[in-house]
Amino acid sequence: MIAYLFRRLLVAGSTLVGITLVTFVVLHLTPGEPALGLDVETRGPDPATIQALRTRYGLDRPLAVQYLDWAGRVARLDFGRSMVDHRPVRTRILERLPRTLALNLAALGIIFTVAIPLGALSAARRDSAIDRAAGFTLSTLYALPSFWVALLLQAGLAVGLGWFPLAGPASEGAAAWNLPARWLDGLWHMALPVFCLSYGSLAFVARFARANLLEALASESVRSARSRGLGPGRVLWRHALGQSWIPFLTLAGLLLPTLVSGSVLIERIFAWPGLGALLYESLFTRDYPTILGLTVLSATLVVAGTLITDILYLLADPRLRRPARAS
Amino acid sequence: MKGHAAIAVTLMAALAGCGTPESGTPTLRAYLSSEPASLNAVTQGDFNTEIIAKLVGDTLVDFDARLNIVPRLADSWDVEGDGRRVVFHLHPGVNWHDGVPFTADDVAFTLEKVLDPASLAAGKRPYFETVTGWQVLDDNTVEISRNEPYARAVEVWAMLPILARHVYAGQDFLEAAANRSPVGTGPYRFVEWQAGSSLELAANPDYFGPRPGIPRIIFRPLPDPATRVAALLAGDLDFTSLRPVDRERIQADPDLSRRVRITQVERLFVWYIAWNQDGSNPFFTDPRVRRAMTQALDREGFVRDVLQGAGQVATSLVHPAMWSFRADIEPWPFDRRAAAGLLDAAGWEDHDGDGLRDRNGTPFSFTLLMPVGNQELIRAMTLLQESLRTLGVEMAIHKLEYNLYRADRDAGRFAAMAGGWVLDTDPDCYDFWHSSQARGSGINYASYKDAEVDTLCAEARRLVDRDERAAMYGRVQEIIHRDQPNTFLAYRDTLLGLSRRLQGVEGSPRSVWGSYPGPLNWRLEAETP
Repeated sequence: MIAYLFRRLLVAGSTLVGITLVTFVVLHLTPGEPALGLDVETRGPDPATIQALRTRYGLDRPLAVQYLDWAGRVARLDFGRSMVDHRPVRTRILERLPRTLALNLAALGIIFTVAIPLGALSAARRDSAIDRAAGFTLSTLYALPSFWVALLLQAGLAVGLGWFPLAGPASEGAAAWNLPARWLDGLWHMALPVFCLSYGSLAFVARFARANLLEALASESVRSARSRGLGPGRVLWRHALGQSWIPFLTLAGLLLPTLVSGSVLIERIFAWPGLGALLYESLFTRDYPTILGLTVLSATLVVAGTLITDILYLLADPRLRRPARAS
Repeated sequence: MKGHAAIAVTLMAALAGCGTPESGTPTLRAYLSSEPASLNAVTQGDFNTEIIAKLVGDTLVDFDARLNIVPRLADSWDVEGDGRRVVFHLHPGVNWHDGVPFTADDVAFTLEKVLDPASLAAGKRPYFETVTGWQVLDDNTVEISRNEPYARAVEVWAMLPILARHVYAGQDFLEAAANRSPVGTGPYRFVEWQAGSSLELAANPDYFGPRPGIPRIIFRPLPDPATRVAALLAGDLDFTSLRPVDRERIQADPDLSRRVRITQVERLFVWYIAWNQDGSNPFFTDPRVRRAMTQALDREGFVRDVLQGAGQVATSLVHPAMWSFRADIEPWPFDRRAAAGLLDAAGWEDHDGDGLRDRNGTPFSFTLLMPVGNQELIRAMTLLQESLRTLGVEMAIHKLEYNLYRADRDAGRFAAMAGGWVLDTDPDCYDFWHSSQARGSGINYASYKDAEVDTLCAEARRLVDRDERAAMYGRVQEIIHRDQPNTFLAYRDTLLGLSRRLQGVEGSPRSVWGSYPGPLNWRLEAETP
């Protein structure tokens, strides 16, 4: 088991190095210079300025040297400075990370609390009117493009009825308020973007829950539980759900990286200063250190998610503990 | 209907214990189209930075709404040797917001920084490259010397907000704290910047110039144009630019038009197509072919139907709002028959009967390069594509992400290329049309070459006298009209939606913010329920 864990860690580590290496090389080979704060319609920067930028950020060294230097610093959690605003990349990311986390945690929370009971209900009442209605509604929601829904919500609930703020993370002057008021204000501003981020995934998670529960309901242990005379509710919640926790863990592991991957469109429409907007701006301005910093962040979570899932599998499934078969 | 928002806000304020202390101050609610990377306009040339930098800081001179040069930090100036030597007489008794006196040495400091490549001042440096020396004559007088005459020796100072030497002392210029909490001499003081959320300015009661009419401004970063329009309609924003469809919608709705006023303002902007004449394609070295392209495009129809009147057909890089504009030059009319005649005359006929014009076995088929994202430009190019098809010319459209587009454009890797220019206030055309600026070395993207234009562009930028220059640039416009190195689609106006409470806004072709005293004359009227 130790050997297995060690091997998984090794794979995870080399995956990370691979991802950063490929991103680094592709990024530096893409045409275009860092933007240097020029408006898009103006002429490009003069050669002396380009040279000064290259010297300042070591872009004139061989690519391999640049990568090793960068990787060495990243290992010490130093992501360098942005070539656009010259602040540490870590500061820039940490400034926006809480906003993106808040939005995505809320969205994931809603997705799971709504979709799993809904999926369970659909499974328990398979092919009933409820099951069909849920399936139809969720698929319809899934099919609605989120930017369009976002604009509709803005027009209806923000401009029309004035129930929700139109955009931005906080009300004017909110910074001076006390903590509970600031929290409430923040939640109020999150409502529309969180809805837009979550409704589309309801269908996926609900269907996932339904399929897994149906499988569990058909299994030996559930049938035996039923034959022991346990009521349908108890069978569903205790036995069927209890059995399908591994697939749900896998799903959670897969969804871990989405916590930090901001949605560019939703963040833009709701003027939400998150990581999606940062990545978009950084790509547009060719801000290499920031793009790489964000890549490391999401790649780490992808790899960590997989690793955690693997380990949980290991704990849940004794067959995997045998060293020779583990893969 | 707005009641619910009011309830929610009251609730929030109640929870907060007390309202914000400034909540009674009349506040202009403005936007930034993206969050600026820095508020230092020497190193950061983008539009949003300049808005803040010219409110918090001051330039030596500025433009009024009619594009005349007016005094700002400099009360007056003497120009000698056609701009070889300029002496600025600075306004006495001006203090930085931290109380330290402003002096001519700060002007020298700003100039040092612009000229130092390490400042990465890519947007500003080209205008100061010929500066060879500067001398602080006394606290209120500074002399700038150039090694050659330069027509724009005074007006380029309108781009350069002056920075305080003492504020940057001992700090890395690019990483200095003042880049995010600037200290200026300007009409507004910097108050606070909540990253991603808001940027607040308050009127400077000690300002040496006109007293600002609005005591407080809150900027919010709103990158999405549709969100900005929604914010204007919701009363969260006091002005924004509109698309033609927004204007229709607002005018059709009495409730909206009661809250929002719409004005159309000229803007120094032109859509164009550059025809590559560097010989890499067999089509566009012939001026007749280029004129045929212009006449094949229904520019009147584009302005009428796509821009819905928010603009006018263009003839050159000189805008009607500029003193050098030649109003008597009529744009070539949309005329497909004339275009066909020109193509025939140039030898491009359908010899092999395949429906496509050809010459020496080469079919008239080319690709136009353009950036993604702008619907107006895309619609114009689609119009042209359709029109050319009926003329037996095939045009493919190749849309690229902006950085990739720019790389191909700057290297001259295209047969035809569409884009937009934010025009300068001065008609200096050296960078655009001089043959030395062709392909790779400058922004003469079309690689246009004409001996007379070369002479005129090189000479006129060395003169200060407006009448002399106007005559020379008039001649350039004539030649450009004849040769059509570019097809100019339209000067694009701005449609501005303003809340009714915002008064005194005079549009300037440089942008809403881009004139002096401009924004200082704005007022907010008490809202009537």
